[in-house]
Amino acid sequence: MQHDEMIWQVINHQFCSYKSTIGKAKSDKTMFCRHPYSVTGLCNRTSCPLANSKYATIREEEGKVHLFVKTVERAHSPKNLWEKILLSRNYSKALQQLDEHLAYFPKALIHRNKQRLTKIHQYLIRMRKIKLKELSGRKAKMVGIHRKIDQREERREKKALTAAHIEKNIQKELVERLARGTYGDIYNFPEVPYQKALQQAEEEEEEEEEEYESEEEEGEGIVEYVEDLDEEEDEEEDVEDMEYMGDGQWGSGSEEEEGEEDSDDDSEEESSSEGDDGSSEEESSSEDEGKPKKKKPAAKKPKNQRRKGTRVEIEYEEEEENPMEQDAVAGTAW
Amino acid sequence: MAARPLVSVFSLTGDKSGETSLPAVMTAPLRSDIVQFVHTNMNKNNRQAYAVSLYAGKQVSASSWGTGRAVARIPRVGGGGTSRSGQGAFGNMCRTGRMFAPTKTWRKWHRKINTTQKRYAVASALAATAVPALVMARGHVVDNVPEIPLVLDNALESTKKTSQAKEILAAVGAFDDVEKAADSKQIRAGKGKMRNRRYTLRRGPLVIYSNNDGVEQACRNLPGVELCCVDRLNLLQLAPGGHMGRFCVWSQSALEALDTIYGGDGKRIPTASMTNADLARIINSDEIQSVLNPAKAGQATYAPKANPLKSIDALEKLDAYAAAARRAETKAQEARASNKAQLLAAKRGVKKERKQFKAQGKAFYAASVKQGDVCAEGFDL
Repeated sequence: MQHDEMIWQVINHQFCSYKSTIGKAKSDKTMFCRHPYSVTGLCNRTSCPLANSKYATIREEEGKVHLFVKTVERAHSPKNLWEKILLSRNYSKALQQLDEHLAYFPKALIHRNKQRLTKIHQYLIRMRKIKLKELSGRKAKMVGIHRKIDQREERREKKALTAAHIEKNIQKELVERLARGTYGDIYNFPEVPYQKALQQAEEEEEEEEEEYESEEEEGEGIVEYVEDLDEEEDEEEDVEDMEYMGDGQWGSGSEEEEGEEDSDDDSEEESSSEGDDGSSEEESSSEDEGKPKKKKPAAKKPKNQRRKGTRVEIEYEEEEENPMEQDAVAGTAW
Repeated sequence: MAARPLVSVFSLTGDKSGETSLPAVMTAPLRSDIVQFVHTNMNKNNRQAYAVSLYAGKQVSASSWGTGRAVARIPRVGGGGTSRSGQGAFGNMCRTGRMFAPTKTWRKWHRKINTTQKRYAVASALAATAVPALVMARGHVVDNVPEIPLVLDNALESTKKTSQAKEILAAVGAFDDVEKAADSKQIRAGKGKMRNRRYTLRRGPLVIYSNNDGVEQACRNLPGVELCCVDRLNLLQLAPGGHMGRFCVWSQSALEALDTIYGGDGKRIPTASMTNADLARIINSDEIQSVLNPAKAGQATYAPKANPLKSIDALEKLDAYAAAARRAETKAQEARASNKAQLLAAKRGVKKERKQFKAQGKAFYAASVKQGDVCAEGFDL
């Protein structure tokens, strides 16, 4: 008994980790007790489970109602402090059990326990009713709203949506399918993306073309004839002998491949170049048929390999071609 | 208190293996006020000084321009050619001026506390560790501890491995508290986190031993667990935050040593001013009640005075005639009131009769005006 009073003094005035309050002003401050074994939820001298060595509570777990009793004799042993007694499911029988077990307890405590039992039974009944209604479909199941969680999930969904780049991925997939040919031959392409895609293809082609001999039949190439300066006359070549070596460079082909079959090659090349008016290169190449000729450089020859002949740089005006035509050209070229 | 209660001693596997008696310190008075006082002062004793630099804000040669220049009289930096010239200096209100009351290192950082007070506080704190309610109220999780105070076999002092220490605590039900401490690890709020105080943690059990044979190393890495030798019990550990009731795990020799430290030749155990502090019980006890004077009857309580102007019963006591007259008047009024209803009803009835009478007359006239004999077929009134 002496301990109880002391304990209460310390708890009340000093510190109790189960005490919580509502209300800021001193006048309407209510003290609550968050101890799981408190009968009432309030923090005061008579309902403190720590400051009363003779105490009893009722607790409900999963529909089962237990009476927990605490006595002085076991106060030193927290493990065995609470005696757990299962109460009957019948309300009146449970009340009788209470009277029986709490026979010599203070009347106020018994009363509070009975009140608590009543409340518990009432809410259990309510829970059962709601559950039945829910099962029979007459009432919807109530679920709590978790604002914090819902807002967090919403935020994350938005972020995931933008991170998915859906349109981009769809576009990629469709283009892939087109390339693979799953759509057969569709020619109804939307203008802009088609042009874009073709430009890309063009750039790739141009790189390849620099290695091939160019069939660019855009406008008249302006050919400049320049006098030889320091070259041996033996080595002098006619302009007509000049062959295109790529990169706007003209010179004689490599000597190594001086061969007899040039004429065939020449004719091939001639036929490949199409209807451009009076490009002198072509004329020159045609005139060369009879002459022993050096073989034209192969397509894959490095550009900087050139003969000791006159080097003539010829500039071309390059115009943008109609892509459709170019395709057609490419088809008939070889 | 001749026979003091027995405390069970538990083996390292959690079974009861013996008994000792509770040391006398554990019955010291629980003086939370003394503990709080001593704690707040003791807490100041391990502080390190801080102060601003001695010359902070003073390393300028500035002087006031005086009056007459249409500027405030604060000392200003002299010279020119820089934006600093002409700016105010020295004052606590000036930018880069010296602060108000610069902090000094010779501030009184430490506090002296009377030795007896310190001992009193420790004794109280020790007593509080033996009260399960206070240990629970302080916030320790002791629901599975078989007994408080928790005393373990002396073999506890020779545990070498932390894993072994963990098992021991778990067997005895003390590990829940350790887990609580481990779960509570958070990054500190505030600037402390960048000042080498990064994490905060709850306090777990305090393991008290009498000689270290490895316990220190075994237990010190468990989160929240602190160790202490009986010879140098620390109030800051027994009552953290100034709140009594730390959960302590004793070794048997440590608990028994308490009787030598506090007792006959050792430190004085404080005595309470009241041996039995339960005032309510004392007053209601037979010994006292039997000697008391009989209870006094108590003063007569008077009914509040009734105003005779408002209450007719109060008027009657003073002037019977006036009260009777008033009563008669009220009765007559009521009679008249009920009468009124009848009168009204009668009048309404008369009105109705007259209407009917008139209607008859009209009907007769209408009938008589028609061509033909009057009352040829008779006329009913």
